[in-house]
Amino acid sequence: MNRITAFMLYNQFSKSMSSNLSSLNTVQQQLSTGKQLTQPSDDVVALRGAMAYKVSINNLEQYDKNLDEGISMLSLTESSLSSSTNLLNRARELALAESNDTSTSDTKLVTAYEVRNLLSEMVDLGNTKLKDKYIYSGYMSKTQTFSSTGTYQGDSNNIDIFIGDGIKSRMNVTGDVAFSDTTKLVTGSLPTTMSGNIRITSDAGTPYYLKAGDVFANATPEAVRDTINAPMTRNYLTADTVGEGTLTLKAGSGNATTLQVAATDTLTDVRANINALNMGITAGIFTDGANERLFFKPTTTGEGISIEVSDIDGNDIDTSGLSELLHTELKSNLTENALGVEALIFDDGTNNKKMVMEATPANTTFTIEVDENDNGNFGDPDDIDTVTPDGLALLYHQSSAVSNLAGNSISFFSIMQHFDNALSTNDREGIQASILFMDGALNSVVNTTADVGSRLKYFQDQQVRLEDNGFSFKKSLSLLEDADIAASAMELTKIQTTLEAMRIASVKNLTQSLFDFLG
Amino acid sequence: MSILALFDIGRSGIFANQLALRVTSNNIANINTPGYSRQDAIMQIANPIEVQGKYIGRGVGDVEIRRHYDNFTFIQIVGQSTSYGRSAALQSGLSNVEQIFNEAQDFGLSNTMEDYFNAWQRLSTNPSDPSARSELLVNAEAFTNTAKQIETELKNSLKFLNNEVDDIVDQINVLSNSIAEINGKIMEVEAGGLETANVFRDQRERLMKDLAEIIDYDFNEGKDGTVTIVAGRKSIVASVESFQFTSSLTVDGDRDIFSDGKNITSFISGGKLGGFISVRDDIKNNSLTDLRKMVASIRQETNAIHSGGYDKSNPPVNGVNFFDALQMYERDDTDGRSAASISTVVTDQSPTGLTSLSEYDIVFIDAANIEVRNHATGVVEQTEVYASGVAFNVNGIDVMITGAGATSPAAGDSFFVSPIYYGARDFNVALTAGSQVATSQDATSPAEDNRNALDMVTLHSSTIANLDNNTFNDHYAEIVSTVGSMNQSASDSFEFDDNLLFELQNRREAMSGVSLDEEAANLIRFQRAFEAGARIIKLTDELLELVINL
Repeated sequence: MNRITAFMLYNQFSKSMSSNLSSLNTVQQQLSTGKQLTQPSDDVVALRGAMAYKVSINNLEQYDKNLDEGISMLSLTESSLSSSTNLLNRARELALAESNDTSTSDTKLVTAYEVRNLLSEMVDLGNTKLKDKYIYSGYMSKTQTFSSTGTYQGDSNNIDIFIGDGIKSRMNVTGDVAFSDTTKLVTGSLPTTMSGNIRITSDAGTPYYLKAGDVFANATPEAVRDTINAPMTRNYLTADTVGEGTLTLKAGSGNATTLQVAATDTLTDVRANINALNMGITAGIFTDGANERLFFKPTTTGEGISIEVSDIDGNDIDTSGLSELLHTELKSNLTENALGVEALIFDDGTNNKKMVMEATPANTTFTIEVDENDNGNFGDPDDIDTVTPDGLALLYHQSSAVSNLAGNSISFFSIMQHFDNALSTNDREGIQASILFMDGALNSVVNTTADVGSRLKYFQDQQVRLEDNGFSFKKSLSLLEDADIAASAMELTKIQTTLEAMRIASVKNLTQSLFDFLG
Repeated sequence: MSILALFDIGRSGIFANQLALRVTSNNIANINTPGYSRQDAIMQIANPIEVQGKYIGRGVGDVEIRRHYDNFTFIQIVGQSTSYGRSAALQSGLSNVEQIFNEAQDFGLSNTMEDYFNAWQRLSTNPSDPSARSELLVNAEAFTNTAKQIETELKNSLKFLNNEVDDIVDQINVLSNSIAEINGKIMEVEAGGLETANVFRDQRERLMKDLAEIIDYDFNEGKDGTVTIVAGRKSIVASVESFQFTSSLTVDGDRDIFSDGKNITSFISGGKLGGFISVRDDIKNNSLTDLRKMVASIRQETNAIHSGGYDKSNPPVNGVNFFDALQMYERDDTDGRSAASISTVVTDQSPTGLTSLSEYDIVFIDAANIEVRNHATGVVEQTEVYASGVAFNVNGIDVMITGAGATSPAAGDSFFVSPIYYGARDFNVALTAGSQVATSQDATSPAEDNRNALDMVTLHSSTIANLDNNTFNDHYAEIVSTVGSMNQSASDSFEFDDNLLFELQNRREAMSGVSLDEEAANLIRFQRAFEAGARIIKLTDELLELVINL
């Protein structure tokens, strides 16, 4: 058996005492700070987890603030866009009212006055500010978005913010998009006359050439427009001679005129003969690459024309002889715009004529190629002219990538100004063009509003999601670093009991010695 | 036989028991003396004499004073004290460092780093807001200050540890001196082999235990009772002589231990000294280097992005650093003895130019050939043929060593080159005004262009090639958790060593400790024996009187 000395008892007591006191200190610290992780060495793995969670929570809080910023920006954008929708709707109502026959120049002038007010309201909307920042100016938020005449002065940059780990999202719409209709194809300012040849290809169509001399020799913009808009007939006459027979031509409400075609008449002869009749139908020749073809159009835009054939070969509806002119396609296309493009001319308010072009029917695409000097080549630099287009090249339109038209979006302010201008000059076509623009503008603003709205919804959802994530992160963090108060309190009681027992025992044991009993 | 012989017997009993009482009293008096081994008076029968053909005892003979002592326990205690000293040093050193990285209580670098990057985010949502700009600068400054403060505190810890090393070397010298002195006394007392120098041995054992706590050593006891002690592969005590250690500063700012002019630091592993040296190296090679590396990386990456952007000056300026550019550090690592000189230049500090943030040792393996070794790993990264004044490129650092003729470098010359040594010390915000913060990537710097700020935000969560493809946060968490786990294991082994030492001391106490109860019993025993002896003398006196009066 081991010898036990008093010293050993003392040592044992003081060691146990200090270890218990140190446990007491730990528990005390846990209870007073509420944390069980007070230094890295307490639990290195938990600390790493806790640090990662803290970073995540910290980030989430910052993303939340970013989202607040984005949401206030988008909300303001949304509400100003909805105001601009209302303005456009009102303007469209006015345009509809003024485009009918009952409107007079007087009513138009009154309306023009209201339109001017709408315009300045629209400019104010475009210059909406949030905390000293023009929200529609892109990066150039300190620059007034639109001048008083509606010139865009910002840039087209999107402002991205972080709304989650690695998730960047746009929180703005620039004014050049929000206040413009990009669906319309508009030319630059047109010169008074233009010359050359154009080739128009509609969606899934065949290319058609308009031969120089036939159409565009010092033609006015209106003439070009009419040619593009006119319903044309086509046929497939390929021989030098067209075949013998009689044509009965009728334009609008005019009288029918007959024309004898001799066996020796060529396509050029027929064209010349028809045009010589001067009875409301203009004939022309175009080539579709390989073949020459004859086309007809009403001399007065908008009038219907009809052509009947009496073929010498006895069959008036087959595709041989003169009746080839009345082949099925010709009949069915007679009143349609064969070129697949509809053009309108408007004054942009600065006495410049511009042409707006739309595909017909809607949702088709078209190409306009130009041969300004009529050399048969449609790709000369002069014909494309993308840098400073002039002449017919102003109409050049290959695709959105190479085009003199694409990007020529028309701002809502310009639309208002055109409308104002058309009203002031009593220009009915201008008013119709305005309606066309307003339809596009409304479409465009609806699209923009939908985009902003869904973005706003996304931001709000993201905020909720971040809150959820933050909550679960905080819970995980708490599990790692927070003390279990109940368990700590129990532990405290346990240690206290132990300490008390130790003190009592030590008082009884350590004070005793044999010397106490020696007399 | 004479009646007077009774006197002698009685007297021997009185003397012997008086001596025993003195030993007992001495035990009681030394009950609280550390290192004291209890002693026993061992009485022997005096040689008997022949009286009338019978052998009759002559009372108590010699009294031997024996010390209760177990050599095996002592050796164990010496060994365990060494472990205990090392653990205690590791724990105190590391828990100090752990307090510096006080991440568990939200006061560490992590928080200010988050604030700094969050300030970039706020700026990215509001690049035209001057208050967001100044807020960023304030946060950046807080970040730099915290990083600098942590570095300073780490350096202070190192200073403290170096002071400890210095103190301990003094203690070792005092102890080795005393042990040699006591060796001499023991040799004197024990010469002839009759006496045991109980008290001196107790003293020496105490000193040796103290010495074991501060340094690891081997010892053996000679026939003459002296001990020889070898520490750090040098004998510090041999018979009555002691040999002193010295400590002095080396080029890298550490206090190393020298004996006979030789650096023996690396041979010391145990005791407090070994512990402190180990903590010192841990702090330097892990915490301090990693912190500097991280800060250097933040400076490098931030500046690369920032200088690519445009600020809000009129006209907008670009190519400006956000933090001060990194400063190179180089030194002659052969204690300044190399005749050649070194200079370094980094022309492109961006991560694509300076492609590694390692530290290097440029070592001349002979006069013509150079090895570039990674300072941390010792791996040879490239070899160069020496040409005076011609720079060679080490991962983006142009290193030029100059020295020809009399100043030619010699084999063994070594230079230390580091792009991160001043990484934390010079961690300052270079910008002075919020308008200088480059948020834009457009030469006209429009108000709301936040692309550069967004890139900076992205940097926060990007993996950084120069940090072994860790993010800043990961790298920092690694630093903290390394310190944490080192401290955790140091605490564990401290507790273990403490308990073991306690057990050993209990064992020693069981053998050598003084028990008051025992001594009280002895007191009574010897007192009674003394009284009885006195009574024998009185009885003898009465007998003599009776005889005389016949």
